[in-house]
Amino acid sequence: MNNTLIDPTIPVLPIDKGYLHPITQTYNEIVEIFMAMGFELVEARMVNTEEAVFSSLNFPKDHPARDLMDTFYLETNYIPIPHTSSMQNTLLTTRKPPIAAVIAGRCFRNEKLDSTHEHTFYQLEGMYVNQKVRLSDLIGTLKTAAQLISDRYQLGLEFKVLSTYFPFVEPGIEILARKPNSDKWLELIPAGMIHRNVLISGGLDPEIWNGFAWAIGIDRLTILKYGIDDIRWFHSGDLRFNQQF
Amino acid sequence: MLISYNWIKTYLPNLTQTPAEIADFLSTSLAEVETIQHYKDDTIFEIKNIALSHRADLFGEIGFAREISAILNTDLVLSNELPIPNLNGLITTDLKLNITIQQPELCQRYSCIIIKGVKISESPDWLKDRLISVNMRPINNIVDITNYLMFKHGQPLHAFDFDQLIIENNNVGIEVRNAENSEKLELIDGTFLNLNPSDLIITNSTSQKSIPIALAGIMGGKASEISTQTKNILIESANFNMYQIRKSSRFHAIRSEASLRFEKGIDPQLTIPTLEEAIMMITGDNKSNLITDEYLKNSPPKNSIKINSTDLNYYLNINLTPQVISSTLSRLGCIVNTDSELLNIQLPSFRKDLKNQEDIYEEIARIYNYNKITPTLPDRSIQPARFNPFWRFKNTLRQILTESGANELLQYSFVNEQQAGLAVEINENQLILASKIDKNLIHIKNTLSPELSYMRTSLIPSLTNATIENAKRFNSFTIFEIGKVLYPIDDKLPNELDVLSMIYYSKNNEQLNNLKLIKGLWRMILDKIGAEDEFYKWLPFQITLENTEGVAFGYEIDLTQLLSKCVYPHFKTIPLHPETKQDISFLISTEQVLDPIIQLIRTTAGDILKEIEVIDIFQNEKMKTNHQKSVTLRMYFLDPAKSIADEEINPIREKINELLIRNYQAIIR
Repeated sequence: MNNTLIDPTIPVLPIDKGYLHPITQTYNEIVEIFMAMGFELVEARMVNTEEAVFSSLNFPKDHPARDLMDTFYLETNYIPIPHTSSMQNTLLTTRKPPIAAVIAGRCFRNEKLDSTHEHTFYQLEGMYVNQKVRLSDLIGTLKTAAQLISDRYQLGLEFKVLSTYFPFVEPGIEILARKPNSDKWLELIPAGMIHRNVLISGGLDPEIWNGFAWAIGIDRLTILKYGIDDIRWFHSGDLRFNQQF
Repeated sequence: MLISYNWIKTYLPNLTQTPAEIADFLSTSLAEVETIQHYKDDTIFEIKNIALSHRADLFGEIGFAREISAILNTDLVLSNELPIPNLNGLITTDLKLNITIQQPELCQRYSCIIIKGVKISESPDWLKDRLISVNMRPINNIVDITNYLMFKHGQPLHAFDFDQLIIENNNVGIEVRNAENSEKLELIDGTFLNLNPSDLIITNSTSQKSIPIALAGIMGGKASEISTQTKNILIESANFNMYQIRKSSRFHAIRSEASLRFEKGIDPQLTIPTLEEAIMMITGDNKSNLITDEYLKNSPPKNSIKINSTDLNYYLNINLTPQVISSTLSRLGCIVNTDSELLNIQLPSFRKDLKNQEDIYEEIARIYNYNKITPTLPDRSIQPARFNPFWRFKNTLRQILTESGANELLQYSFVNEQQAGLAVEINENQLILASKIDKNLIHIKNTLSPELSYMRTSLIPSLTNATIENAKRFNSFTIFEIGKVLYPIDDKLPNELDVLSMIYYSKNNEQLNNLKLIKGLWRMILDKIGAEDEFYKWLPFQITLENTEGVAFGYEIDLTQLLSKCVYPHFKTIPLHPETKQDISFLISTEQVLDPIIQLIRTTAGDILKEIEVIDIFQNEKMKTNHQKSVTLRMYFLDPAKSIADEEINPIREKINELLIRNYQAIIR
């Protein structure tokens, strides 16, 4: 064989390759972390009832807390879900506790688009129900998961816990994260101990069962992960965006 | 809600912490401080109203002072303001106020007083500064005092120009009632309201009539507004139903500092002390016994909670003595009786949000600081997480598609009217997009824009848009989406289908090759997931691309249907004998599609025919003129048990030729 006839520096032949949407990739990576921690995965309905979205979650009718969710309504009064918590009641009524589940779903809020606000976004809700669950279990579970996420994406995040209010939890907390050398804290995981009224709506006796729930913003995490500058890229359909990930 | 550092400091004499430190404490233990601004030497913190929607008490500066007092374990000293110089004002006793509350469930308490001889002027600087610091515009001394006290206590006050009201035999009638359809009211901000029976109004009533003077809890009427000429005033300090105020304020799209507070559910105990302080500021007098107070007590809310400090310490994983717990709760306004580990907590009337032991646990946890709690992990027996086959199936498809060069997109679930209601149908294996869903069932009432006014029932329209956009930059590509579409039937909760949709686009107009490529991709997916035969026959849509050169084909399939017809692979013995291949060429009419011919050959040949593929389709000038095309098919024959001799195949071929000639007028070449 005469090797000198072949020029090894010839240009490459491009191979056609396809790309997964970055939201899909983040979902899969985070779901994997929670599955390894023993949480089953459930998908949220895209449209649900007023009962599932609000009433069963301790949001009384005409209560100002409903302003938290700028909700869309179909002509039929069904609701494109504003949060994946809309599946909590379904899980409570279809599973026998102990329950450990994460819920993936696309959510909708009536918000004007700008670089940090989208009317369409993605959540991964989590739910744990058992006997004698403690607030420190909630903080421990979320800090463990948040640390695994930070390690996986090499973000070196630092965390802190703040007090906050949502009608469907009591107490309510929020985990914030900060990148190294940054003084800006980002809201990462709103969470809390499941409110007794939510357990009662789900047919459980709050004197026996309790638990915690949280929601991770998958788009927010994806933005943090890749340093994306504008949330509107996610639904732009532009292949120049998708082919970067 | 805006919090003035200087203002709350007046109630916290021992406060030494800086504004920045206070902002941190509030964020950690109450709700996140969103912004910090400065006004003169004051620092103003802003917390989003929505984060406080359960805490009417925090719509007053005193509420924040109380929080800081608990967080820092420092004394809260509440003090009243001194009279405003030169305002004058005398409480009158020669007129009788008659309060009538028609809907006690909508107005629990109405307290008011008449003050005569006030001198309207500018407020002193300190008062104007307080208002400006919380973003309120100073107007005149009377209005400023009512606004100031609303910001201090969280209880809205309203001052009416008393001389605009009708007095009958030394009686002043005030009625709280639902409006009637024909009634109208001009508000202070100039809005003309057509009232309706779901509005609650304040009226000036006489034996003859009852004239609307305010939209209760939201805004006063223009006619009785305080002006520079005002001399005599009526001050209202009332308690309205939170749901009523929110409903009415939303209906008329009128929000005010008062409605913002009432819709949170204010403590009815606040009307008197707030009004007393107003009287003090205006008259220098504290004759609270002259207030007219109509108080219709509802059944008393639960006002005490018992907890066990051991339970609390277990729940929070901390170790506080009953005395420390008791001290924190006392700073928050509770009265606590301790009996070793048992705490009996009497709740203050302004904390209606405290109902259960978890609420008490939260008070202790947040004041203690969540960051100081040692995290634990739930104590649970090992059990596998339930498996979700559908999620895995979707990921398998995504993987197959991306590995073969397709790109995943996510598109909005909303489409415009033209795209609305389209759904996939199959007509003799041909996929078509037909308008078949009732648009009313998928229409969004409060849409953002006409482009986003319906929920989609197929992914194809939005993928088509993406195809047109990307065609401006790329010569060829495959895009796909896996997502939910609605499939509504009458007005029940709509069915949701998870579908896979994919489009292949190429600028090059060789339709045949493009069609072969998308079909190849489709077949490859089916092969990989082990789908049953019926899907192989499906023929793709041709996608119409407006103002775009090139062609696009697509598929869409309901994934539940697809998954239900996938079989797990089973090993089949690999045959030792070689297969025999034979080609068959013929001319047929240009319009004739191949699928039925291939089916015919398969049935005629039987099991011995393992595979059949199209090798070539072409047309020369002569064929074009004769309206014919030439087709070459390759057949693979195989018998696992033995080699196949030509003698076995020949009769089959003859039979096939005969059928092709008879059924399709083919000319065998």
